[in-house]
Amino acid sequence: MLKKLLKHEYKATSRFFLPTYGCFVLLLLVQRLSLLWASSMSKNQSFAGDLARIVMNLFSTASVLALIALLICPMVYGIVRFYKNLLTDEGYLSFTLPVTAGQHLVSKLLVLLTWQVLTFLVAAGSGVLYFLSIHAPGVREMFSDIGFVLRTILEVKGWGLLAVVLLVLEVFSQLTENIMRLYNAMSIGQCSSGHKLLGSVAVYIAQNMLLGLLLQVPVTVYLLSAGSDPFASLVLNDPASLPVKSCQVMCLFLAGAMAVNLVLSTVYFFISRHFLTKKLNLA
Amino acid sequence: MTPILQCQDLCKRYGRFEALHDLTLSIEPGRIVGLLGPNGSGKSTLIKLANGLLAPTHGRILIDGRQPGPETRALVSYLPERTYLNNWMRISDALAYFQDFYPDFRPERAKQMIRNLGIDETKTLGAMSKGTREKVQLILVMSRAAKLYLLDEPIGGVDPAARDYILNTILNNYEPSSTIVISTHLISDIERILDDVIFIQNGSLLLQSSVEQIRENQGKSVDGLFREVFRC
Repeated sequence: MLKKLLKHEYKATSRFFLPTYGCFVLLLLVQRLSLLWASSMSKNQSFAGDLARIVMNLFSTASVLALIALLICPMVYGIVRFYKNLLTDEGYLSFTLPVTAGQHLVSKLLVLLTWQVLTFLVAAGSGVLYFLSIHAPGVREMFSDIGFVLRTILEVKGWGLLAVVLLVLEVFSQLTENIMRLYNAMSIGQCSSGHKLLGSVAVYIAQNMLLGLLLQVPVTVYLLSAGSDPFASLVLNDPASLPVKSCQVMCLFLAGAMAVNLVLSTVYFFISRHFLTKKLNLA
Repeated sequence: MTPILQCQDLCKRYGRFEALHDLTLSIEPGRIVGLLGPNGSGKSTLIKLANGLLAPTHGRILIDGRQPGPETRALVSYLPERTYLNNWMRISDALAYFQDFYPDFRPERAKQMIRNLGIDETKTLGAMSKGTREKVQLILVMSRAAKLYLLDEPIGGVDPAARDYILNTILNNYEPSSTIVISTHLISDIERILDDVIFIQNGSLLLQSSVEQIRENQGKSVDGLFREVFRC
């Protein structure tokens, strides 16, 4: 049943995301054309030249705003989709399917994760191609720097590759935690008759405050016990081992962050499942 | 034989308001049952509890001897009193959706009924009138070979011709061994198809009887008895 849920969830959500990607890419193409037009009119000080430059600036601004909107739209759409499909009239269909609330949560999580990754790839890929095509100053140098940092990390035998892999996994775990925290807030908030959205917002804020407090405590305790600068010893004691020790510290930090995210995601999952199974309150 | 639907001291409270109060009843398989009562009597609450859309405050509700969950949802075909299909769906999308999740769904029967109604299959559900959307929903629900059909106010808010269509669709498409529970307050229209009736008021059971018994013992129609019992 989970496979079927995933199939229909991808089908329903692709109706939004694929045209959105198409529009974004089209906007970048139009922006590129406007840039070419403006370049061809660069020595033209007449009205036509001014018009070309205004159009180019407008499309450049629109492209930046579109990029920001594109990057936040998966999360916004994910919230709307969860709410509409499970907590409004559509919920009468969703919750009478022969599937569990847990399967609903997993399907929505996996689909939203997919779209978040794809959106990032579309935004990053389009952006890179665009800036390279216009020979924007500093872009090639930026990529060269990123490549240098990556090579330096990967040169550290074993730990370097592990650090990179853990970084990718940590990003996924963070995305998962973000999504499950939102779903949890909405699953609890829907109990509030007549004020579901307000209830969800209140729960989300309360969650974030509680999380901040809970995570702040171990960090504060560690920093207080580690002394003035916990990392100074790495440099002072054995500079030659700095790359390895740095990678080890990074791996430890990433593994720790990933563990915290996975624990939180699991807790949110079970709480959400409980509320959607035992405390469902469809109007 | 296991009753298809059983309630044992079923109670549902929303805050201080008690929608159902110690309801105990049992419905045998193969019957068409009218769940009758005035507005706000608890009919929809009972149906939602049977579907697992609500959890009881205390007491139990069992579907074919089991608590509502994914297993019982595979046996129950539910028509709520609201439209629950996505507006962007076309008929083909809705049919594929039901076929995927319900092994007992009969797509050819659904397609035939849709053709008979002359519904444009290329239109999205959002582009159809409210009445047409409700008919599509009813067709999808009645195209399943379910053990229990729970129809919540299927004829409320539609014209008399549409009511006849809906009732005929119900009669012509359900499995004879299945049970249909129809919740309504429009008695005179559905009385002709009912085997049993359940009267419910303020969340409590007032009466559970066969239509035949009511006519024999009370000497009146179900509609007449309803008007008497629920007189304002």
